[in-house]
Amino acid sequence: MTLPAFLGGYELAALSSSNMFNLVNGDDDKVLVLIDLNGGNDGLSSFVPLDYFDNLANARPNLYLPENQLLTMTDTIGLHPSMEGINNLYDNGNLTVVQGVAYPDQNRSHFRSADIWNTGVKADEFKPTGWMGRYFDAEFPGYPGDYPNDDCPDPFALTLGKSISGTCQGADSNFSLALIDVDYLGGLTTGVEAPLPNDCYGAELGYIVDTFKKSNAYAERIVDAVDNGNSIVAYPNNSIAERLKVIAQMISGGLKTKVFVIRQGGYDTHANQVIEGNTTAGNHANLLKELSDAIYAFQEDLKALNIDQQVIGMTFSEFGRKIISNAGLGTDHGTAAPMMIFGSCINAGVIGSNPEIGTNVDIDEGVAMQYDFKSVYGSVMMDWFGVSEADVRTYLFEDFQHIPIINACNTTSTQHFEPAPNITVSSYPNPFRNRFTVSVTTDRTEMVRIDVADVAGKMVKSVTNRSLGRGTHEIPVDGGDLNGGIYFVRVQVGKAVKTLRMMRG
Amino acid sequence: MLQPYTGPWNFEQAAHLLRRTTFGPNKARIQQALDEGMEGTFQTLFSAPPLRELPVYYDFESDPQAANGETWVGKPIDNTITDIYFARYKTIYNGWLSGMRQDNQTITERLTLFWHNHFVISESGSPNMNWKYFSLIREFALGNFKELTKRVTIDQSMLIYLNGTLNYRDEPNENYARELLELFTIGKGPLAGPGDYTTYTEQDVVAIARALTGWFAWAQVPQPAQFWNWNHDQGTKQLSHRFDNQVILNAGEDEYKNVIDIIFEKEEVSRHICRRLYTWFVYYDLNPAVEAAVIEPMAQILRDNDYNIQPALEALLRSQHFFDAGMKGCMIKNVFEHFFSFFNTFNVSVPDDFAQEQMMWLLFRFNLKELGMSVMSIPSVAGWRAYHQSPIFYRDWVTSASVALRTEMITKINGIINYVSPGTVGIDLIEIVGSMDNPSDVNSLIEELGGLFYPRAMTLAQRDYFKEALIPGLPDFEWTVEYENYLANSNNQMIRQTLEHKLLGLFFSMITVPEFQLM
Repeated sequence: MTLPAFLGGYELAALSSSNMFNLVNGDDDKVLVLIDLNGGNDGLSSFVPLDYFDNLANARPNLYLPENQLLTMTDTIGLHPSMEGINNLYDNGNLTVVQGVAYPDQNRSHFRSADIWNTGVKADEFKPTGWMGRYFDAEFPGYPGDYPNDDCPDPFALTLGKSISGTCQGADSNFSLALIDVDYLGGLTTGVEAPLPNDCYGAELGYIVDTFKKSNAYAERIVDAVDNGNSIVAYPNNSIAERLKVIAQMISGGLKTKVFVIRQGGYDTHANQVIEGNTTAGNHANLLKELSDAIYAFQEDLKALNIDQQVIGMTFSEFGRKIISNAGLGTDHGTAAPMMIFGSCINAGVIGSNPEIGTNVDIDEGVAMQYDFKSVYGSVMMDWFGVSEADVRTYLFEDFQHIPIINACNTTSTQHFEPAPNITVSSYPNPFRNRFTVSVTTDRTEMVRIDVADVAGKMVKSVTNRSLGRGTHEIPVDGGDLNGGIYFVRVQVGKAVKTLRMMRG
Repeated sequence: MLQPYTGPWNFEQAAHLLRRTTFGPNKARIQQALDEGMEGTFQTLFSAPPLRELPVYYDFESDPQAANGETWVGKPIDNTITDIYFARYKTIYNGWLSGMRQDNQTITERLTLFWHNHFVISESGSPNMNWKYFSLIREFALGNFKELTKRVTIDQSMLIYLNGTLNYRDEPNENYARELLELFTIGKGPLAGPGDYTTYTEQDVVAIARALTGWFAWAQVPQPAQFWNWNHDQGTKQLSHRFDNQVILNAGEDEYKNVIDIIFEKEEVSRHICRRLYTWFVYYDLNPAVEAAVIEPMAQILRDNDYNIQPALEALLRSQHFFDAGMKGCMIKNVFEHFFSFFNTFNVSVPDDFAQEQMMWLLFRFNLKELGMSVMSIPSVAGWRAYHQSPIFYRDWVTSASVALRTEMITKINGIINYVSPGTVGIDLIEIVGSMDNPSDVNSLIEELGGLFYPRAMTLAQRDYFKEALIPGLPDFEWTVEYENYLANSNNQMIRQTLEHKLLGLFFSMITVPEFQLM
């Protein structure tokens, strides 16, 4: 017989019972659920651009999904057949899709790009804190020392899984706890507390004892919330759904945690993304099915529990994948991909345009950037957590562009957000030899920003970033110093974005 | 002058030294140190480590160049073979972890990890390159720091990790030049003016980047990095007043050596590396007293020995400061230290079968990585946060979330061993107890175990707390009765299992108290 494992021996330290929590929905009850699609999700196989279907099929002949098997989300976007749950969310007005999300100077290393997303920085910037960590640091100074306390008895963030998300890393400590299993909360014993000597040992030991006590305090709160909470809808049988179910239960039980993070791994589909000859099946299909069914059940459960107005969810991934598939029935690291935001308090619809797939796709070409992920994050911070725009620029970046993702709760109309009809953007000639012109027509004064990136998402040119008055403006661009090939010209006019695919002949 | 320790050489001193210079010393190792005396112990610690065996495939049959059981070192990588990269990488991780268990004699394992945390790379390039990097830092662990810096500068993994291979004459990339100054050699001082960090300026970063242009590394082919003169900036590079306005003349493929020689002329280099060694081996509080009494003399020794690491490091570890009672136990164990302080100290046995042992290490590696530590996967070029991130430093390893997970890891050890090798007994608590001086006496037993596990002596109240976990509510003699009953009937399965179960309670209580997080 094998030696039994050390299970069930944890004790929860005895603590005084916490105050009755209050269940009234207020501004401080807003919850964000982050789902990390770890590995780099192939957005092109998730939200298929129907208006470029043929070119896409030509670029990935061994991998593309047959058009007649796609689910119809809109007349220009087809969904992977596994994404029935997402389709339902969209039909119910509970989904916003932001197209082409990335950041300038795309880094295609998992490590670095995941870091960039978690810490909310520019490609050449390094910060030791997570983007939500900076928010928490400002809102709750004195963490971890002064917490938990009677006003804030609950963990600020929870990662459901082992590795603690970098998203909530504060300057001194991570605001997130890791929750592996509600039945196994890791209550910690402080043993016999010997007096602390007045030296470095006493300092470090004191910190550890304190940390143990806090952990127990948080564990007790989580147990309370799960016990008091509920789960109504039937969830599918998968690990994402399991975790979302627990989250719904904790929120309904009154846990005031603001951010929950879940990681779904496996998206790094360099090989065997699909099954040969049956591209709607395979690894990617399985992941998307798991994800879609889980998110849909979660949203329905939130509604049934009457807490849907408190919660929004967001998926993110460190990058999208290249347009051209490889010989291993897979795709390699790319650039941009769509982000999903779901809930009852969102501007349902699609923000941004389908990525343009040309007939002459470059081997290195990823999906072009339209929106900076930091603008998505910042918009959530502003409209969901009530952070001022000035603070968002400090936490994230100066070039923050507000994106209307969050809306008054329970708007059921599905609207398609595209550049407002009074703005038109085009460029010519295409292909160009040395120069081309970007033409912007606007009927009011707007900030106009034009940048040029190469096929791999690297910034090669900053053309302009200035205010233009109403009327038509022809902005010349000197592309003489560029190598031949494909370029993406990103034109931002006020809140609208259009990315044009151009070629230097 | 770094005052040497002249006090008695006893269990407390030997255990403290070994905890900081090896991973999880067990009773036998500490006894060896007592037998050798202080001199002998230092001689052993600083002796040449055992030769590291070349990594071999253990479950991979798709590489025609190296069969299962053969080494892949020196064999090019055929990109078209599925999973070949991982098949090679994993043998490096496994070997590294296994070495932390195997080599309990010398300081090499701890130093190799130190250098990895200093000259950080990730899985850049290829396993072939990473193996070369690992061999390099291990070879130079106790060697010459200046020479190591030169070798690392053109190490292929490093060239890829910090973009040396993208540093072109017409398009310089400053990444390596910056980290070379800021992290690896002289360190960043206070901001003295725009772009001026007291120890170097932005101008120096630019100049050094230019001087380092022209290097290239081949991802799959195992050959050294190449220097291409046509891609090298052959102009004259002007350094700032921080380097006395020296000029770097074109010297082709030897130019990088001159760059490093110039940097190392500055005394601050010796202080910077000594501070890092201090943080790794002693504590993170570099207050003015420590700077004056420890860092300054240590740096002097380093310079006097032309940057050979050993004399300076040895002087630190032999110092009165190191053995000071008030300095013992202040280090919060990192993930490896925590894991091996159990695995090695408890003499956990590994499967006899080589392939099974490798599978075990791979599973441990995966779990330890989730806890925040893995070789070739350091989160930032500045190294693990605990060794540089102010003000938290070591506390980064223990948070509300992580400490429960670390303990949970230990509870999974046996499960993992049995999974890869059904029937192998990993942890044998009865054997540990039997190896204590006087296991029949419950007080002696617990105190001696405490001496092994904790950096400071336990109080009577703490001893009673553990006793309560072992023999709840019973008088001391009941332990003696139970234990001697086992000794008289050691083949009786039921008695053995009952005893194991009791010991489980004891050991669990001993590893879950806060004191177990310190060394």
